[in-house]
Amino acid sequence: MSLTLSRRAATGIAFGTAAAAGRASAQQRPYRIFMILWRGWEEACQGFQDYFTQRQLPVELIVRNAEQKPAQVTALVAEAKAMRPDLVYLWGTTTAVVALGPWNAVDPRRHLTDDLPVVFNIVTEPVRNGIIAGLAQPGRRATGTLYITPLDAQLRTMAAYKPFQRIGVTFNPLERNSLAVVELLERLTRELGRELVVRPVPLAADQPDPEAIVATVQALAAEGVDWLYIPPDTFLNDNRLPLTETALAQGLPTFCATERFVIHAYALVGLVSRYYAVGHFTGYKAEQILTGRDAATIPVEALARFSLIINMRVANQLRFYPPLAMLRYAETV
Amino acid sequence: MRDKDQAADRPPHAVSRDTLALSAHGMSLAHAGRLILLAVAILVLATLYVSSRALDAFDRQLLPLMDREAEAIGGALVDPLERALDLGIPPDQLVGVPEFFQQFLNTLPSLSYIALTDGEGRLWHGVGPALPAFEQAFQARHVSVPSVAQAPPAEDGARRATISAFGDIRDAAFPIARRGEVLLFLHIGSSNRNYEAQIADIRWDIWIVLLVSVLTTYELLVFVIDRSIMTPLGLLQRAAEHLRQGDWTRTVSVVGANETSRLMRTYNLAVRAVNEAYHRLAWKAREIALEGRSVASAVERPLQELQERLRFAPDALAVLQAERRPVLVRIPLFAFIFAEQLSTSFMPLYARQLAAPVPWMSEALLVSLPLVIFVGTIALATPFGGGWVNRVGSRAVFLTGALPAMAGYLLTATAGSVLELALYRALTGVGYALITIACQHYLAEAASAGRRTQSMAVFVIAVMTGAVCGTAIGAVIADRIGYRLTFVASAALVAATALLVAMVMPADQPARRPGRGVVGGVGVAFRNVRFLALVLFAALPAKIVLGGFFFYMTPLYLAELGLTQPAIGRTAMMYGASMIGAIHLGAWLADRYRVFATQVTLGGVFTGVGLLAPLWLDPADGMLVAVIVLGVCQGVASGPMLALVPILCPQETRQLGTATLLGYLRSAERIGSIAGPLLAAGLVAAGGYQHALVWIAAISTGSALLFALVNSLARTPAILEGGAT
Repeated sequence: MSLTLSRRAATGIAFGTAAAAGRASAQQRPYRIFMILWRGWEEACQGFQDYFTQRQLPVELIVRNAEQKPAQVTALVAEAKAMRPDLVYLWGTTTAVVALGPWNAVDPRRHLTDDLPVVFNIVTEPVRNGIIAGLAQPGRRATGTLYITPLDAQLRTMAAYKPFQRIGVTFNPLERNSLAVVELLERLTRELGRELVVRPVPLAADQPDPEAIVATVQALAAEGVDWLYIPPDTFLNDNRLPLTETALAQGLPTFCATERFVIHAYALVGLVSRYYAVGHFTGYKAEQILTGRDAATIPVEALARFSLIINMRVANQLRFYPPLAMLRYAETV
Repeated sequence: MRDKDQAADRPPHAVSRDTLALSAHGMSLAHAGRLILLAVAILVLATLYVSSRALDAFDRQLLPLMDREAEAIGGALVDPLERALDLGIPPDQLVGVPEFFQQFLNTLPSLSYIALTDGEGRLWHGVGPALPAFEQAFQARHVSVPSVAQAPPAEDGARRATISAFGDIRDAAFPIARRGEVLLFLHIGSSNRNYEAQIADIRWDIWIVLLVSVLTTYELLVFVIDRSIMTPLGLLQRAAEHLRQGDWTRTVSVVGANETSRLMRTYNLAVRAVNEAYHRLAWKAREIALEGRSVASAVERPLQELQERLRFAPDALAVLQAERRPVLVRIPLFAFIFAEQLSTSFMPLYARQLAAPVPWMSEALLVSLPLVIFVGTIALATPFGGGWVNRVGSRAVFLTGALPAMAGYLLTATAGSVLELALYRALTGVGYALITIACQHYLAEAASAGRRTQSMAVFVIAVMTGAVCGTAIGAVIADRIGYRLTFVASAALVAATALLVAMVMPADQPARRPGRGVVGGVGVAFRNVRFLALVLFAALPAKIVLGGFFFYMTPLYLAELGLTQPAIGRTAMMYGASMIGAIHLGAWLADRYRVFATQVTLGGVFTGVGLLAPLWLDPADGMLVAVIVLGVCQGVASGPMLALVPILCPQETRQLGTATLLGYLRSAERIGSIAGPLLAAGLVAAGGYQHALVWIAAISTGSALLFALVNSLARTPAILEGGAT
């Protein structure tokens, strides 16, 4: 009796191994993922790649950088169509908007169509930006992750650190992601009975003027705002050092939604989804698509946990310290 | 508890004749009593020792546990503080410290305070109710702080605190260091009072378990000794008495344990041998007479003398059966009441848990339904059971009653709504009525030997002891395994009881007397104003208070006051406990001073006064006082109330018999038991518990005064307050 049982168990194990081996051999050619990046390789891409390494899922990554040029994105879309990879990876809001187009008005000449599944990463407000129909049901064969923590949670965290009356915000008026965030921020501060002082970075020759950042921050400080809020904005990210240094010099605490301002500059605090973790999570979505699930049925989700990052050098310099309760869960740099 | 007091059916001095007749028997009874007392005393001592050791161990383990708890809390507070310092935040610029402490205090309300001080005797931040006391002690340097040398944490990473005590507070002080340099001290104060309350609760539970096990053991011992020793010895004694009178016609039925049954077999053998010898002798004498020998006349004379002095069985020997002993029914009754009263302390709470709002009834009234229906069913089923038990006997009725009782408990455990609960309680009510009537019947039959008062006392004692034990332990059990499983425990106990009854209770129950018609005499009885007053102003309100205040309000109000389930059980237990003592006190008072009516009046008046205690004292303490006063008053008044019946109605007693009059009294009591919870529920719904207390108190006191008034106005002969002495 026990002999039969153990024999049967052994057969089962052997069969399972064979099946696994069979799957591995059927998957001799690694999955090919065509990656269109906006400003080159960074933490989110690393998290994405590491996910496959950890899962021992063979993938071949074809990495292309659009160098922050929308026209370059369109050219890369054409290259992807010609190559016919298993999956296209899009990094960034502008990349996604240019490559995918509106979900209900796809132009097959310029946009990625449903014959190539897409996963997107580091995209702000994908529904408001029109690239998908809804978070639960994308409405096209493109899905991905959210990386901006909910704005109301950000405002609550800001108030928990230090209650405020006025917030100042600056941004690149040409970036759709920033516009969307500022619009939402205006509504939420109004609901809270607080004031939002909005100062977009002035344009010079149809481009935001990096030289104007210092003056803009100084003007906000002069208006007596309690916090400077930095939206997820590629232009500001590129100019994060002058931006945050000026705020620090003005004694103005800065709050941001993305980690680089805190970790690689002088912003005080951020409530963020870590890029690496978001990239990892995007890898999970990609795996689902590669193993046969229809991208159109995979919901677009945010990470369940956020990170509160405080730059203690800045806090010490400003003499502006987080409350003790916050230190129980904050990460400090 | 509900139908306990037919004991006073007969005046107390009626016993003496029987006692005399049984004086020889009494010897062994006294011996058995001493034996039981010895056994119980040994048990009590052993249990006391074990309990006190358990409590010691508990104390010993609890104190270090308390310190570990403080250390765990300390760690959770110290870590962020040290982190803040390590991150370069100056000690005087820590932000949100009181808020941070308050968060902890909210989740751990047992803490007296949390405070932050420095080495120079300054209090930086602090929260908590006992903060002023801490500040005082801290300024007076009564609080010690760790020396800098103690600063590094223990190897296991746990924070070791420096403990100091002032008042009833234990202060645990933790050093807070930045890179090894101690800058601040965190103080966590916890009040001993909280721990002591917890310990007291557990200590109470242990005492309750001790009390219940001692009482139960006592009951079991009485039963076992009676069955294995007293019953056979009593039988042998009676048989020996027959022999002394020269009656050799009976053997005895073999009962009891090994030794006694061997003795009885020997006895039977001896009786048989003597009978056979006699028959042989008689046969030989007849043979000699037939032969006509001269010795015949010489043989005949002594034989005749022998026949005059002794009697022998002509052919078959009769069998002498053991007496029906009241004790035999005591343990089943005790166990059944025990099972029933397990739920006394939480029945209304259980009902409220199940209560879903219905449009046609307030929640308070809905919650009273299971109590009302239970008592109502008992009232309806009892007369029926009384008629039936006369036909089929105690054993059959007891066993039949156990079925609905068990089913009722099991279904009660599964009830999904108040109406279901009420229905299932009705089922249990049927069982309750049948079982109590079976026991009463058995005792009445046993009392035909002449010890009526004694055997009814057995009923009262079994009921009250069962009530005390069940109420107290039921609450402790429910606190640990929940209401529903406690009902399952009740069912199991009833099952065991039924098994016991099936084994020990004899089946033969000759129908002795037909049921008496009760309705016919109503007109006659109630034309007596003083009897009417006794029924309306004493018996009825007593049960209204019992049903409304005790069974309905006590669990609900105590739960609202925030008492734990065991504490509610302890309070409820005091009713039965104080009643046991008070019944004896009442009997003694009545016997000595013959002040029956005064006892009844004062019982009602003081019950009302006692019910107001929760308004004057702390409500929880007041409820305890009210329950005890109720037990004492009802205990003191219950015997005299019954004794008053033949005194107040000498004529009607001759005409209808005491039993019929008592029947009327009991009917009124049942109406009171039904009306009580309904009335209390209505009053609670209308104006809350204290409002209801005032009204019920007014009913008790007011009706007692009315009773006294009517009684004195209609007073005729001097017998009322015993002018004889």
